[in-house]
Amino acid sequence: MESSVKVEKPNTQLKVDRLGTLDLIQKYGMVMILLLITIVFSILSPNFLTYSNIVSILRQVSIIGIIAAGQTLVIITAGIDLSVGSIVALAGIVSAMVALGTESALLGITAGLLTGTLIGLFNGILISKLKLTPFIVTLASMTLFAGFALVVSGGNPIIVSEPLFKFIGQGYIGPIPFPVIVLMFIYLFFFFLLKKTVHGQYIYSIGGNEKATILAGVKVDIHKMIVYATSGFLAALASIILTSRLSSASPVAGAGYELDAIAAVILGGTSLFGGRGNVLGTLIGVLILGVLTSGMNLINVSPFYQNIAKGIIVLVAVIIDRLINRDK
Amino acid sequence: MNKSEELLLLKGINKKFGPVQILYDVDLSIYKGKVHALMGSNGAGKSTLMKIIAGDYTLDSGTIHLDNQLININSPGEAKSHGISVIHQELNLVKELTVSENIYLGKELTIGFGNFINSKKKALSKTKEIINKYNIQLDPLKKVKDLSIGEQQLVEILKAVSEESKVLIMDEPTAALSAEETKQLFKVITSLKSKGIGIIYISHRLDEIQEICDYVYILRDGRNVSEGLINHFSNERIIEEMVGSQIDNIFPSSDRKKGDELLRVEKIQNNILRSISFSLYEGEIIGIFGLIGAGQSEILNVLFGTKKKADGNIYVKNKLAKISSPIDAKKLGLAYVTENRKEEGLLLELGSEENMVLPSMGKFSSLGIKKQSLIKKVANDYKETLKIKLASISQPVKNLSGGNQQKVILGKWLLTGPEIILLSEPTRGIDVGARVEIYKLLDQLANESRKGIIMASSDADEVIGVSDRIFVVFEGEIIAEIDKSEATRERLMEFASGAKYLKEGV
Repeated sequence: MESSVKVEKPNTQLKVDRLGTLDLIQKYGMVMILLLITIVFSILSPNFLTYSNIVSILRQVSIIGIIAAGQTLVIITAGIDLSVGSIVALAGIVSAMVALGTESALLGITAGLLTGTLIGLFNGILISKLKLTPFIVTLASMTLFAGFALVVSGGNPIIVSEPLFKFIGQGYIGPIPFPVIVLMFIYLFFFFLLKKTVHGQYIYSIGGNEKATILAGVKVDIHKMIVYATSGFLAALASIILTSRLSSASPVAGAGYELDAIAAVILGGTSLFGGRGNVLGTLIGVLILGVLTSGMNLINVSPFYQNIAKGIIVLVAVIIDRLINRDK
Repeated sequence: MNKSEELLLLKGINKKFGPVQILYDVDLSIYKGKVHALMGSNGAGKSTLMKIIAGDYTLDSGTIHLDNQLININSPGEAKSHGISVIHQELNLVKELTVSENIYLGKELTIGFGNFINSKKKALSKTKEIINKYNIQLDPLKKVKDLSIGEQQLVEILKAVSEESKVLIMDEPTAALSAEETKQLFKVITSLKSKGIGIIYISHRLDEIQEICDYVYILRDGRNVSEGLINHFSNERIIEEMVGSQIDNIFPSSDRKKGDELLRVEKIQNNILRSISFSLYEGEIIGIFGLIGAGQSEILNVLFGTKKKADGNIYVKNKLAKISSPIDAKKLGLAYVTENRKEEGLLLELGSEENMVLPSMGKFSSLGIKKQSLIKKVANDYKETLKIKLASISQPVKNLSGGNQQKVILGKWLLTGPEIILLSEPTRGIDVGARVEIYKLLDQLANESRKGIIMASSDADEVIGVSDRIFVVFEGEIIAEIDKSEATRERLMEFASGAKYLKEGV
């Protein structure tokens, strides 16, 4: 009997190891919940499981999905980014204004992405260099940059109708909407980043034990800055898709997106304490929220009740997940 | 011992986890007013047995009697209601509350209409009563965060005795205590004994077992192997029974030869340290001994760049070194095995492979992409060489025993290819078997791989057994340098406590 006493349940332990990670079981729990609600809605509405509806769900979730990918990285480092909603607002306004002013969609897009990245970097510098709490820093910049968006735009939406700009949110490649392709690309990329790269390894390490990671001689500050900058960049990318889809940028767009993104990350099994989680889980979380919204629209649930139902289902999902994983 | 003084009696305890049996028909008798050492290597079943008594696990078969009454313990709450309390290694106190608020946390003393008002005054006077009863020096109005670790532990003990505990389980109570605090704790234990409390004492420190315990139980592979009055058990016998075979020598006795100078420290100062100067040579192990807080770990912290020095110079291989962060230190070939494995050493949720490659990711990646198969191979190699016992290299390290966790940390730093290895309390809370292996490894590293090693420790036997030269630190200053051949426990203690220093004005 060589195995340590602390291995509380050797049999489950073995099973878990064979599958690779603990997260996998957690993810399967959420996949089952996703399947369950999909089945329920397909029974309740014949239009639910049609090609066009599935594509429309994917297009709808692409915006929150892209933001949530960045949020996942931040939360794995045991941080949080509340500023993403405001970045959506400001980056949209900036890119629309620059696109209009220069008559170049490309410049507009670049300016928008740069705005988001710089705001993220700003958050990251305050958090890592001044050792401020992520919650407080990003709460402040959420308010700050929401204000900027209103000031810069004068409070009015800005209409953009550049063809290239339009393509990003409204175009198709083959039968698939362009935003869905971006979404898939982002998730593949960050899945790879977390699993296979050194930066990904450090993201888990920082969240798992920041002190130990610093003592291992890792440039923790730089990796944290990159993570927040990434989150800002992705929020800006989501903003450009949103602006393009609506053909206009609104200074109040994106309000509350941070909460949807965080909800998706948590549904996806990423620990708020850091060190654990992955983007595939988040994608499932995003899809659960998307399927719920779409399904409830199809069966004509009033928007008032939709929020109640969503809140309950998020709670139920998390409780089920807790029960599945209680023994750990 | 007299049957009538029997307090807690466990008979034929069996416990399985899945297919793995951890305990086989284990018996244990706890007597009133006695201290019982429970000894065994990691994996022997000590902690499972304790968790059964504390209600964290339920037993598969067997009986528990308390005061000759058959009892069932199905939850920690039930254990508590039977008067069984555990003082855990990790203390469970609310730092922002005072001593007496902590003691009465969850069982606040109330007064007034409907018992609505929490009477802190009542709690305070009760606390004072208990403090006096057990002869403890403690200010009940101090916030816990302002107390030393030793004092915090006393608060835990007070919490337990305030609930009329009959049986007290102490899990490595001295692991984080200074020698002075340990003395204080032993006084309190003596006074607990005199009030008829039965104590189960778990520790890896044999000298303490000899000093404070009356009775010893030894478990091996989940079975009782030996028990009896402590005076029938020498340290050697305890170790032999625990390990199941004879260990010739805890400390390896190789004849190490000093090589060239690796590190020179000249007059390092900061708010804790006073003019520290010394040299470290290839193939040498320096032991730094001092009471907790004397500054021995501060020296290592400054060398590794986690603490700043105000003055003085560090030379690595005769070159002035600028070390302002662990990044610099690592580049210069230093490695640091820190004192707190869980807080500073390990990524608990991750596997040992990820832990081991963390500081040397550069070697294990190209263009920022990890070389997965190389990482797996190297981690498995190190698992073999360091004899780390684990189910798989991706199993989270939080599930490993202390000894295996420490080996993972050693592996992690060996992978960086260091020339100078710093260690702080390298065997704290680690069982004898793993300890012997770590000592052997340190010897090999110095003797065969020609590394220079500095080990800070508050365990005098360990310092004497492992080191070539010993520095004794007192109030931030190296006040004595003693050669291995002249070192004794008493000499080290005399210097470390400041007695010698003050007497002779060295």
